[in-house]
Amino acid sequence: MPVRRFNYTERKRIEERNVTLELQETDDGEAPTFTALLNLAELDLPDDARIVITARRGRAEMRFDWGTVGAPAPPSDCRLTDVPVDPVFRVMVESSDRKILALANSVSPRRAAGRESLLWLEEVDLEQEVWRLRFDEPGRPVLLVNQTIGGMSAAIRRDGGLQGTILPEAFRAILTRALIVEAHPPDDDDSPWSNWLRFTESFYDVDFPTDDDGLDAENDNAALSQWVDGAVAAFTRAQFNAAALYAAARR
Amino acid sequence: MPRVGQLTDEGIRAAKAWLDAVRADDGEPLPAGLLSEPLYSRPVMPAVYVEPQSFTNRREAGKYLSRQLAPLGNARIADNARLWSWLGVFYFEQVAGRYSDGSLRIASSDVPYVIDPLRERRGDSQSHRNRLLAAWDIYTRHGDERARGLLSAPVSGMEHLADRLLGAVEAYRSPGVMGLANRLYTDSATGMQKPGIAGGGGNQRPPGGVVRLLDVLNQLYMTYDVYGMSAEQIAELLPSEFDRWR
Repeated sequence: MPVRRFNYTERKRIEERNVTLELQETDDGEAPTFTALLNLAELDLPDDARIVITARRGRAEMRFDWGTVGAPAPPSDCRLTDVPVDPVFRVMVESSDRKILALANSVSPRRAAGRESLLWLEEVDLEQEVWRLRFDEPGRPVLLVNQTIGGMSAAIRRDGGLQGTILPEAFRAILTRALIVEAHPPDDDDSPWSNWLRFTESFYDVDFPTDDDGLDAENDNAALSQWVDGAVAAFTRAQFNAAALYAAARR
Repeated sequence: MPRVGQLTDEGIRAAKAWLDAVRADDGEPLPAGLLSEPLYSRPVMPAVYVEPQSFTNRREAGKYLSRQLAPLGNARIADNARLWSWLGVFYFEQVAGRYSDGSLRIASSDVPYVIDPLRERRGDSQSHRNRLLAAWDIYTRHGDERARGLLSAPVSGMEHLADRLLGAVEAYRSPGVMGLANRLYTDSATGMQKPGIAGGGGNQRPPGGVVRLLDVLNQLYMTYDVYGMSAEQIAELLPSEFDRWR
């Protein structure tokens, strides 16, 4: 008996602007926690509808009852003990009979500093490699660091010298991935890499090479690479004086 | 008692090459030092230990590993392909099993024994088909009672029910769905999976079987938070085709 699928539901869509989810990570190995600010007024949902937030990764999921639309009540314990690394969140508003009235299916959290996380950090087993990038999902690169090197995540967050040795190359690899490997147009606001390119524009004021600059239709990787190199150089100047910091650290 | 390790890249390569050799000749000996030499294996931290065991079924394996590996923290080892590969080699004889004529019953895929970490990193995960990881995961995540029905097969096997549920991540995460599946498809007296839930194999979808359950749950999720419901709440929403299993 075939399943009859309906292409419509009455559920409402919870937009990105309705949810601010923030992840608080720790440097001491404890499970991260999160906070969520919900602004659901424009969705015209019943006051007594329940809010449920789930965090998931792989086969693991944690569910958090968040009170009701009329009286949100975050739980006292929001530690992500079962999904500690790189979780994705779902926000649901349900009626008393568990019908989903409104849904945000996949919400990426921001970091605690209030800035959206561009580069995620994850400690994993890397054998003898110190770090590498993982590109599972377009626009969401993850900087993997070797978990056997104690405190490396914390060091990368704080140590300017270490940042200067790792982040410029990571940034180069990310732009290369976005613009050359995946060939996303730089002016496409819907591109998953648009946040990275907006970030780049904030300190690198050089126009992207176009056909008018002699870039042929096949994409001239040399010209693109040159643009990326310029962006990385600007990045090291703008974000940290990498070479000087590294020299100071060596001293 | 051997200390549990995790295979290095070289260890993974050696283990996979050994599996190929075993497929050609099941008398092929394990490469010397595969589970102990630093080139092939590094110990996990903190130290945990396992002994050779004769597990009655997958539930026993899940229970034993759950206890022995607990100091490592469940969230940390769930994705550790190297650890599960070390264990897959350590318990290889049991995980592979033997035919009645005594010959080794080894699968054509390496995944039941050795998980390739590079494949996992690419997001191309098949790790739920690893025999020991699956048994441990079901046992630790869903508890001893539900493990009765889901892990009743020998360590060398994989129940149709567990295989289907592990492959459907949303359903697998849901305590309600797992409880319902256990109730519908497991004989409460024997703890064994009821016959007929899989149909004749392949892609068959017998009415009320586990594949149909997953179809119906997907359909219900269009309307309900079905993966957050209790087993009883989900059962009330199921169509009559499931009545024969209740």
